[in-house]
Amino acid sequence: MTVTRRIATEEAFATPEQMQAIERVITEGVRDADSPFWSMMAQGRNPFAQRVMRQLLDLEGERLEIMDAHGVHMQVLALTSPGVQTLPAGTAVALAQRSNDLLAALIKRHPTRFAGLATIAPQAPEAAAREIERAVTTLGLNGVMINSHTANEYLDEEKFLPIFEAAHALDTPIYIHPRAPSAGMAGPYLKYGLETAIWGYGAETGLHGVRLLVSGLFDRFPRLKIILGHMGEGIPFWLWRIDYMHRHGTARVKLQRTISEYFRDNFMITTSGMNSPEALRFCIDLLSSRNIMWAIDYPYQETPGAVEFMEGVNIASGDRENIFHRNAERIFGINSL
Amino acid sequence: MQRRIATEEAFATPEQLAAYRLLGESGWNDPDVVFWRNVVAGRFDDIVAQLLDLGEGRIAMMDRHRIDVQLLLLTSPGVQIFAPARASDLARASNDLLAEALARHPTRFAGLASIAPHDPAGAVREMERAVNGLGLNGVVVNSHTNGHYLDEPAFWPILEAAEAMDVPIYIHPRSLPQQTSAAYEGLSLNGGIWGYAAETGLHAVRLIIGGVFARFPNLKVVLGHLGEGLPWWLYRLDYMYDLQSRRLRREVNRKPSDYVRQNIWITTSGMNDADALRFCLAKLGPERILWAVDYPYQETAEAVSFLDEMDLAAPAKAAIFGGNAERLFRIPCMETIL
Repeated sequence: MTVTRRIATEEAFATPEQMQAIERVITEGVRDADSPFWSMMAQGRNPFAQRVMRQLLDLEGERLEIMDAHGVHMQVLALTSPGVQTLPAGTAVALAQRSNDLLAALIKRHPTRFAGLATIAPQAPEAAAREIERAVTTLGLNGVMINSHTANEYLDEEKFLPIFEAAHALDTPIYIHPRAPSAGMAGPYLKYGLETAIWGYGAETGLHGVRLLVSGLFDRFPRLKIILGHMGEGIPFWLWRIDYMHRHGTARVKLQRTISEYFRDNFMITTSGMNSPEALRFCIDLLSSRNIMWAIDYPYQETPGAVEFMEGVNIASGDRENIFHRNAERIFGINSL
Repeated sequence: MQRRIATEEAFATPEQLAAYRLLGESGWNDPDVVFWRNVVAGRFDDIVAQLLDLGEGRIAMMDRHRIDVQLLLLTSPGVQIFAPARASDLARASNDLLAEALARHPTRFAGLASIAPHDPAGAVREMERAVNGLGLNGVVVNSHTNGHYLDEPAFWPILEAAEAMDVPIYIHPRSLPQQTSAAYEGLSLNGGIWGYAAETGLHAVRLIIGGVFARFPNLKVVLGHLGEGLPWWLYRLDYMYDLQSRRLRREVNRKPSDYVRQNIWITTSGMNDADALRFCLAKLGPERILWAVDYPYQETAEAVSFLDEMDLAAPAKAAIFGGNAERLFRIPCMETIL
């Protein structure tokens, strides 16, 4: 019996240079809702922080061992959130380029084990657009990752248009990965540490997705593909109500299609951090298995748990094939075996 | 035959709307004040008329759609946008008016008491008066009050009283506070399309992780809109709680899903989606779910037909349509009243 190919699609790495740069801006007093997490990581006092930091910085040692141990054939890598988005624009642009070079070199050494998404600096939209083109056409990377807001701004704003123009022209997908809520909304989350994965990441990134959906972006760029992790950051559950409210509401932007049509045609979701059989089956019924990709969120989440979930969940075998690898091959341009 | 009890049904009082009008004229740009400024300016006269009607028109509508009982709530944000003393006065007056409607139509209406959370002592007195004196069936709080949430110690007397009186608190949505709503405003997302749930779901998570149910283990909270997203995220809430539990476990000694299953009931208001309801049934079971329309904001016919036509075991359907509401809100059956 052949084993189904397993491509994990939201897998994190870090570079020492990125970690130092993030720590430096925090030390210099530039605080946002991500700062408590990264201060904790930099201090490295608890076992979680120590393990995760080690595994983020490791690219081809322990990472490949864990992949082998659990039958993960390929990781689609991206620089860990918040990428370079908290850094001054000049630093961020240079660091993004170097990190993409490093990622491309790693993929060249392990072309069957790794694919990768380009890091960009949305705070410099024109440079970001150029980097998307370089990363996809020259380096051969498989898409782009953006970690939700940049300096409290969201991608529906006009200034970010060059990024979508580039991605649309190249038919390359943009993965919108979580980070902690933007400054304007973060206050009520901070009291109990709710700004992180337990609630705030989903609130921040789900809002980002809904902003794009109602903004008219997909009338402008009808082939654009946006990827959301965590089973769609809550949007699938709310899709009926979003449609209803959009139909009955006083929306600012007139759209050509319904919200759920855009969500089905312009979005992919991944299973990162949501090993919930009920949620997966709900999404297959709502969106079809062609819109869902498997992800672990290594090293933040456990590889064996994600593998066992996807192997064990009671769905049709064709759906499992789609989610484990076929969709990732199609969306990211990964060669099938 | 199981009665159909709709559990998140709005009304307004003339005094409340007059006060909203005055607040709107003050130029305050709180998102809910702006919403009501537009409503009372005549853009939604049919809705206003439906909110104000606690008599024959409403009953006739219920008859048309075969709704036996409406559980009435003073429409959001209730009295919570007024100064504390004024808010408590308005709450008392609106509870009196609600009680009169219940007395006129004892088999057709039940109701939740309005309170002013920012006047905690007054709120507790009013809860006792409204439940023990007026016979109301619980309490409604419209999410935040001036940007503050019920997990904060200032509000604990209210939670303590609700637990002692064994009446549920319905946490109803409202707009995000002005100070945290900027990211929602530009594209009109600070409403039913997304912001209400972001606000109210966060409120519920704050109660859980803030240790409210560890402190008040018998407190009953009701959330509309199929639980404001909590059922969907239940797996991840538990997983991340485990990861962070060293910090949390000092005050919160059970998993978030344990509290959801022990302390929280959800209603179907504004979520006439059979697949989403089926998801919640799988996660929580039929005994935690109550039917609601959200009259007059949502379409009554659709709310009725969605559950009516859903392929669901008869006992589960009966529980959701009314059995659970009878028990949770102590809505006596008709024979007792007549």
